[in-house]
Amino acid sequence: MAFDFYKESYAGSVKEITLGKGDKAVTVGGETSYPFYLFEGEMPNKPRIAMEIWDMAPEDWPEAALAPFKDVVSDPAAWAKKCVDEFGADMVVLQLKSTDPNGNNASADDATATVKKVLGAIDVPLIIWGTANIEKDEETLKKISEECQGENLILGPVEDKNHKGIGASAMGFGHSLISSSPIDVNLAKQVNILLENLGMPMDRIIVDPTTGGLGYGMEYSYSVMERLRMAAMAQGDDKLQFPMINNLGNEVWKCKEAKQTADEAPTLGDPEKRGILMEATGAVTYLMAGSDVLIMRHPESVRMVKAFIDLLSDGGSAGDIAGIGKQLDDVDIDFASLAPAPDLTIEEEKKAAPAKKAAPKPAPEASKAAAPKAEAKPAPKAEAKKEEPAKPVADPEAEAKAKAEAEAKAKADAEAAAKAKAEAAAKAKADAEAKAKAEAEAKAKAEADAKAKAEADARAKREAEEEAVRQQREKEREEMAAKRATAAKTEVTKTAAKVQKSKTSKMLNKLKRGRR
Amino acid sequence: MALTGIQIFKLLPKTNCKECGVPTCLAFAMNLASGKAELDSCPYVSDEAREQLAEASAPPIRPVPIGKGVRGFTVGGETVMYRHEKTFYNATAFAAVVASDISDADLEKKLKVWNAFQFERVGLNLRPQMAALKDVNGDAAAFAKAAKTIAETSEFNLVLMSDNADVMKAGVEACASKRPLIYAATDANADEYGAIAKDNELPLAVKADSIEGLVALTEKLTGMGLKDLVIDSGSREVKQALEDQVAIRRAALKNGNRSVGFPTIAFPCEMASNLDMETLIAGMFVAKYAGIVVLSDFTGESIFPLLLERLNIFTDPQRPMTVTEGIYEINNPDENSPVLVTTNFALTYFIVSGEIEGSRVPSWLLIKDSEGLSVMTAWAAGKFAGDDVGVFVKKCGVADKIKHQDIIIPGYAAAIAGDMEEELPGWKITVGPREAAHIPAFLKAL
Repeated sequence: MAFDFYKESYAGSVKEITLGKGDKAVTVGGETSYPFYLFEGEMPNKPRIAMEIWDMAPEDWPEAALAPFKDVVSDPAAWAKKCVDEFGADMVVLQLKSTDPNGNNASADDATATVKKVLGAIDVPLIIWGTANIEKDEETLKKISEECQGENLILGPVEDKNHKGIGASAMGFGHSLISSSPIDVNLAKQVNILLENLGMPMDRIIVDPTTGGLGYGMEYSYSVMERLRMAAMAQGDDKLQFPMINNLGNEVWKCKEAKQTADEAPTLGDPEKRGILMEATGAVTYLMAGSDVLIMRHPESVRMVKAFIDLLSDGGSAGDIAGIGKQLDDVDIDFASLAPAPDLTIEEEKKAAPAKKAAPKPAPEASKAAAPKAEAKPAPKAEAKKEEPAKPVADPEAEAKAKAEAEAKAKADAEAAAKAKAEAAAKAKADAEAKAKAEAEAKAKAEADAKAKAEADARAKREAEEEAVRQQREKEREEMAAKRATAAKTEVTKTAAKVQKSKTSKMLNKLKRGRR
Repeated sequence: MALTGIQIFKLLPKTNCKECGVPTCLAFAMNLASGKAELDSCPYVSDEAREQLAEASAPPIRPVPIGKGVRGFTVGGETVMYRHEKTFYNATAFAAVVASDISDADLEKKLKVWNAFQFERVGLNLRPQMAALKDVNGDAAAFAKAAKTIAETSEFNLVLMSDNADVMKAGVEACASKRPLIYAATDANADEYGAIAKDNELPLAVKADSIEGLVALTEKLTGMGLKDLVIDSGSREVKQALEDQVAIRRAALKNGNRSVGFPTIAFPCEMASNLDMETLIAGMFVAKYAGIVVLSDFTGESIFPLLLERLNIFTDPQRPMTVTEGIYEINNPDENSPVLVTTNFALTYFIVSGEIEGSRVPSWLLIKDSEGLSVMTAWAAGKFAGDDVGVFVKKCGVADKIKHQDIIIPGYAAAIAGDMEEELPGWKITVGPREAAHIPAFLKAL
């Protein structure tokens, strides 16, 4: 077979949006293919990395994350400047940690003052990330929006509950928004639609699908991002054609394993490199899912991921990209002494032994019929086979049914049960007959001969019966399928009604999602 | 060309003998149709049916078992491009290189050190599986000796890497019982390497300098009767490597191209000059379709992030991850320590236990089985109802471990407090924070 490269054809593309203002404004989005699938589309703007700073000195950062910023953590403006001047940040994210009502609860005025200071120190786009407290974010972000008119800040996270306040303010004072939803395609779409209805220009929105940490729910975000991209590009859903942003550094560095010291978790290796590699590995994964802006913390992971983005976009060898430049001392861990003794057992592969074949519990009728025969060994295989048709639960149709949708089930089940019972009884009788015949013959002929013949007879008979049953069931199944089809159809029309979901129905949706 | 489950079923013996490992012929037929089973598992299928089914029943990407023992594994067998379409089945295997001129003492040490890198998480043991023994000097005796040491004194399985057939034969002889992967058949040696793999019934990697080159080689080798192949398109730059991985997966799944319907092997160790960048590249391969990823070494800090990523990507999205119901001790609690209760959704457990741990407050954490739902959904679905939780608290035996009768419930399940009080007379039910992030402050304020 010659090789034919299957190329995807896309029905849509991602919108381009410009963040910030002036010479240092950054444009993201614009993809016409899945992330880095440059063999069938384009990525006119490479994904960008925004470095995060906090508006207060962090208390619980591990040493590795703190080391590069030790001198500036208490001064957000200096911190931001260091990110840009020293580490070449394309953008800066100011995380408004101090405003958390469950923490310091700093006022909106204080936060605004900090934003202004940071704005004064840098010329790259500035993203303002709240605390995900709906009321407080609305208050704070509105205030910041007002006071920093025309700066094209990027404000978020904006959720359905506070989209009006923040949205109106951002429209009026010239900022962009981060449309945020909890790992759900429909909810993401809903917030985007709400913002559109509000009048927010669609070229000033970037989507935050909610970012899970590496090892802490990343798979949910990963799949939702893939689905968002597929909806945007394969199905051409223009309500989802937005660039995506991931608040990654914050998630990765707060997890236990990124913080543990070498003493606490020796087998996790060098704590400094571990944290950096966890952040970088998470970043690579999110790039594969379609991230356009990654918010990251450590300058070394930022540098390596940037280089990786260039390699993916432009090609070339990674041979020239340096490894992590450490700032902290090396740790010396004696791994050999920590290793458990190797488990060298190798299980022999077994073909299913004959004994095993008889293992499944026979249904009562069948066991009665088969019992005398069990003595006349060796015939375990035939027994096992004989038991089968008498087991109503193990019928393939019943199994398939179990998987089928619930609508038609209750009724069909009752029917099937009744039928199966009748059949089982009939079969048991047949089995008994076959055996009686076999026994009669056995008296006349040599024992071994009889067994073979009885088995053959019983089998032929059974097969005939089974065939009949099967046809019956097939018919039954077709009927059920027809029933199901109609049921499904009515359901579709029901869900097509375009109403705003209530809280309960949202919850229900989530439940369904959990079960998928 | 693909048959439906029912069409396949009609060709099967319909004896429901279970010898293929599933309960009924119909179930087996369904598995065949979705590429999850192989016709060879059915011992009774007729030759005629076999012929008809052979084309339709082989999975689009062949599952290839490699290695033996506790770190034996299968790669390939994937049926979808995106994990949400169903799931990814066989997780990427990690290998690291051992040069064949390594001294005995160094090898022994290396194997021990590598054995330290295994991590318990949600009842799973996360660890890399393979050593890639690389022939560096054509010394067959040394190669065989190292292969034997790795096979017999460690849990690790082997990739045998050499382009010298004599060296390869010696290596295979030393460790064939552990089912090593032979790397690699190329244009130059396909006949000879194919024969080695065939004679020893071992999986064989195939390397070419392009996908087209691979197609020619795998067709030749399958013509020789080989089935368990692993393919390497030869690209050693990330951009091309990603393209190749996608092209191969798509050709196998969308076009049903059997000549590339095999798991892939990728070599970050030949793509970067340091383990840190290798780790990033490996991260791409875990997400995008590599079956085996070969690194230059394993270290705790480099393999751990990759194992986490692999766990995430290969988690079955159709089934929520759960932890076992029970009492979890965090920070060595005593009889006066607070008791918290939450659901058994793995993510809930991780985040809650992580925050409690971070707070350094000794605590008892009760995990109630909620069928893998998070707090709010479990509550809404009645899987975390007050009476249920109350009964669980009574039965789990935490009362014997503590002197007080206080229990903290999740903020999102505040509504169950009343029912719990009824079920647990004398207990004080406290509603905790909604967000796990606020647990440390809450515990410290107790």
